[in-house]
Amino acid sequence: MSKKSGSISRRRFLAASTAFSVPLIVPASVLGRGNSVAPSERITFGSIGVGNRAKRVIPHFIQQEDVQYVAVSDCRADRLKAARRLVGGQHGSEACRAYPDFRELLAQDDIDAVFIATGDRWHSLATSYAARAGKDVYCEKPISLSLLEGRKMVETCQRYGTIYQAGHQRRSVDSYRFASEVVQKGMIGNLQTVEMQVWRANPIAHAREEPVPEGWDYDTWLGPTPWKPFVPAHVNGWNYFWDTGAGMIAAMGCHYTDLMQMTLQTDDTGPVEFEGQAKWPDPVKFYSDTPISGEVRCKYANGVTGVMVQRRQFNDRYIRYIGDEGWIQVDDATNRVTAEPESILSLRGVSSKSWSQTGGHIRNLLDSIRSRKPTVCAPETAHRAMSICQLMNICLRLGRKITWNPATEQVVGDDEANRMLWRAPRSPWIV
Amino acid sequence: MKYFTLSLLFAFSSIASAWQDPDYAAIVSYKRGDSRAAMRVVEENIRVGKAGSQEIKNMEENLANILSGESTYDGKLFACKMLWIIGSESSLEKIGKLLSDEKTADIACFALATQASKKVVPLLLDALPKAKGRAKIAIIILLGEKRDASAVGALAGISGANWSFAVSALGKIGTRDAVTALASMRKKDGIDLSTLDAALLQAAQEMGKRGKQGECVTLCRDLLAQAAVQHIKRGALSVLATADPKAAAKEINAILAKPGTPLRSTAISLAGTLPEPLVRSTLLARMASLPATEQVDLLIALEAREGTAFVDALHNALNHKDQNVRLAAIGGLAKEGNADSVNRLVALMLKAATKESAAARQSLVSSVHEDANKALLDCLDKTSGTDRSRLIGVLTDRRAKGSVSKLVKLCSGQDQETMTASFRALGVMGNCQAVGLMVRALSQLESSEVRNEAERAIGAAAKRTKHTLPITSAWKRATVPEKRASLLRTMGYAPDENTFGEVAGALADTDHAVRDAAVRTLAGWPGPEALPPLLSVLGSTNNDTHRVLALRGAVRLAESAKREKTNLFKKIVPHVKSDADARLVLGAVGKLADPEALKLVEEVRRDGVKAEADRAVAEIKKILKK
Repeated sequence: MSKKSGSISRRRFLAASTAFSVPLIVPASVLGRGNSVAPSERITFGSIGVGNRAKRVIPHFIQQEDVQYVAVSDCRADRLKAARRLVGGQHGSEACRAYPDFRELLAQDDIDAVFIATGDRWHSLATSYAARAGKDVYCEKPISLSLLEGRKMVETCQRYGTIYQAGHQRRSVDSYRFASEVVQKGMIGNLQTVEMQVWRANPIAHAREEPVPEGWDYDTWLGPTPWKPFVPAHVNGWNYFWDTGAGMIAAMGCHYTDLMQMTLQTDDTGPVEFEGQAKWPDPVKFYSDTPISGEVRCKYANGVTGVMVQRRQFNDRYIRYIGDEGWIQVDDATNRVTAEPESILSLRGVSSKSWSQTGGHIRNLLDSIRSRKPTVCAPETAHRAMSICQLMNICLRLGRKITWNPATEQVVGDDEANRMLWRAPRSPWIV
Repeated sequence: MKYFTLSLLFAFSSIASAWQDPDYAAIVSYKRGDSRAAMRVVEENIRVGKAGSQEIKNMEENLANILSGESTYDGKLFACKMLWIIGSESSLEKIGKLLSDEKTADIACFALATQASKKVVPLLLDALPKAKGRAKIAIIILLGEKRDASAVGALAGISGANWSFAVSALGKIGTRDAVTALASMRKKDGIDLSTLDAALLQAAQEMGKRGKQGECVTLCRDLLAQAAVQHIKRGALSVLATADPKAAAKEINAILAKPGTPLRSTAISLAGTLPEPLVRSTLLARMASLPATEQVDLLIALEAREGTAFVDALHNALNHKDQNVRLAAIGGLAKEGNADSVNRLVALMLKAATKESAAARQSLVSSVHEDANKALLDCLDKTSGTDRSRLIGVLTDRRAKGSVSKLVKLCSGQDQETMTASFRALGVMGNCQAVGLMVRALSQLESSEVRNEAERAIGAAAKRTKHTLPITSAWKRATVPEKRASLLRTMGYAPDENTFGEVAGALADTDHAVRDAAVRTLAGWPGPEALPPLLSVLGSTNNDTHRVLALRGAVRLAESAKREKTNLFKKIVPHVKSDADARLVLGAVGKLADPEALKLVEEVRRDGVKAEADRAVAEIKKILKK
């Protein structure tokens, strides 16, 4: 087994913890789940943000023989407590440290890598902090809220030689890879359109401020976003506000733009034109400001068009590649692949892994942490996929067509659009 | 409290009344919970307004006025968000006034961050000494983001709680002066060296981006030599590899020369990204001396590259004593390989089943080498039997359409394995022309094993290409009963209007083998059009096998019918002769949601199927109850 630069072979378990204190010195055997990988050779993980998504993904990490989960952090005490129980439970022990402040978790020398599953507003920022602390990263999507924030994250990871995997796990799932391969091998002829469907949003109504619940560090919850009062409905519906999220086109659409980029083999570049229309929430009734529904098109220099459609229900999401001799589609809710001509499907392997299974994606990260080879969804790749969604949003917000230069990452001849590429974070956070 | 609220309302109403435009008046007094209608109007006006137009200038002025009045925080926040998009030098002064207040400094910085005006940095520098707490931090951070050399002096003088923010800002500015200021801090007592090194690393990256390679290299080398923590050294190597590959190669060589040195994996991975001559002088020169695990990493690093420059290294690694190294090389050849690689991979694949054999097949299937198909076809000529059929399997999985004509020829050979594999491949890849040629080959076949595969394959190709004419034409010309039967079965794999007509017509053929094939084909026919001829068989045949086949087919089609199911079963029920027939029909009738189905059960009921009939009645009643 190769050695990660100066860290993997040394297990340190010496760190002191804070609020939810556990023993200062924890023998590796206490945390160890199996015996097949020596504790000294395991990659130690900590979690930043342990809400609903983390609860689903952490078990996939723990299932890996060479992973040792040692710590969790969250600005909400209730979540922190539950996550500590989850990790401890799966390890056959309660021995998992808990930190209300993720910076304390990052300061621990015995943590090699972190899994970031915070709210979207924190993703790129937490990645940058982790990279600066020398940790490798698995970060949930969407990986950034503004284009320049994403670029800065890429540069930070490059600066620290960070191994990074974005949570675009469909890239590692058989059905999507199969569809991609079918397109690349020309089995549907020349690719003309990539159709991507995400669901219609539920706008969030106006509501008044309420006291911050006990156990919440609300200031940290807000993180880099402009300060705003605590309004429960707005906090819970953070996905639908430009301040804290980016709407469904980005939150879900980034999976599909990532697949589109993978299929087109344009992981280091992107489309050149964006145009679309959206339906916005009624401002009299609703406070949320991201689109309810819409359609936005992007065009690559080679003429291939990507169409992102926001409509219908959660279970209706899909990606469909349309060529001049046929098409292939993967339905996200069922992982079902359909195609015309149907005979294409006979080539599919036997794997039935669904989009929700992140195991293969995580395995790729772990192998990369050891070899220091970039993962399948390295920073630049993830950033370019995310950029497409961000540009789609900018195009919708400005209500006009924009022309993009992927080489300079600038909108051509549109100062207002270019300004929207960057949102300065609230202090004291530095991207 | 009541009086306070009233006075607040009065204050807001008097401020609001000063506005001519009701939308801006609403924004001035906006609080959470209020309608956003006024905000939407402004957003919409910005959306449709032309940059630099008088309308936009007026809007900017109004928005800036919101900042200077006694507006609510939410009102100011909204104004700053709009000025983030349209703000110009005209609104700088009013935004600047928010910088001194901890509550508003961040939203001011939000608006200022996207302003390109050269007056922004002086504004920030002017506000810096007066600001406190988070306002000061916000200003320091934005000065770093602006990357303006004129801020170096002010930032270098900051100490205490804000020192780390100032150091980070200096790293982002990354000029020679900024680096000098940072370097001078190293000598001070109690300095957090990892924060300082992080800033220097950022400065190195900034210099590299600006084309100042020499200064970048010096900084990176310094950090490699003296950084307090390992990941800064790792980062320095990474930045160096981007800025100056030659300098990086030298450092990588030094790291790889000493076993056990930290950063070896990083060094190998980065070396893989260097220009070709440097890869040869770093990685490849040392390959033999590396442990097997590192050789695997090396091959993985080479695999990630574009082009075939290192195919020789991959070929050599195929003979390595360590299996993991061999497997890594096999994987690498899918991307890097040439025609010779294809031959080597074929040889490996055709060896006894091993991990390497499977990996070689996978590599051949996914090879991106442009002549891979041609090389595989050349290999076909040199093989026979099982080996050849395995190669045909690879061509099939590659969807090598260029191999179709060759495969058509192989369908007419003597080697059964080759013929079977060729037909199977053409079933997947064959075009319209191939369908005709396959039909001709079918007519010459003698082996029944190959014939079964050939019928399936021709049917699949004809269905896919929607080209069944060669099959029906051959059928019309054919005279030998066995061959006619074979063509009927083939039509069953390519069901369409034409083939259905021929199959249904064949029910009246004078030859028993042909009639038998027609009944069997229709019994498995997917469409409802087969039901009438199947009912006709049921009513006319004396052949019990044909009757049973027709009954099964009819029941299946009636079950899958979209409407009038009961009526269809009414036509089937009179043909029930045996207990087995009755069981088959009762199983299907019991699923009908129709009271008429109960009558059908009674018609079918007989002593031998009493239990099944009772169960069918119960099920129908249960469905009807729902």
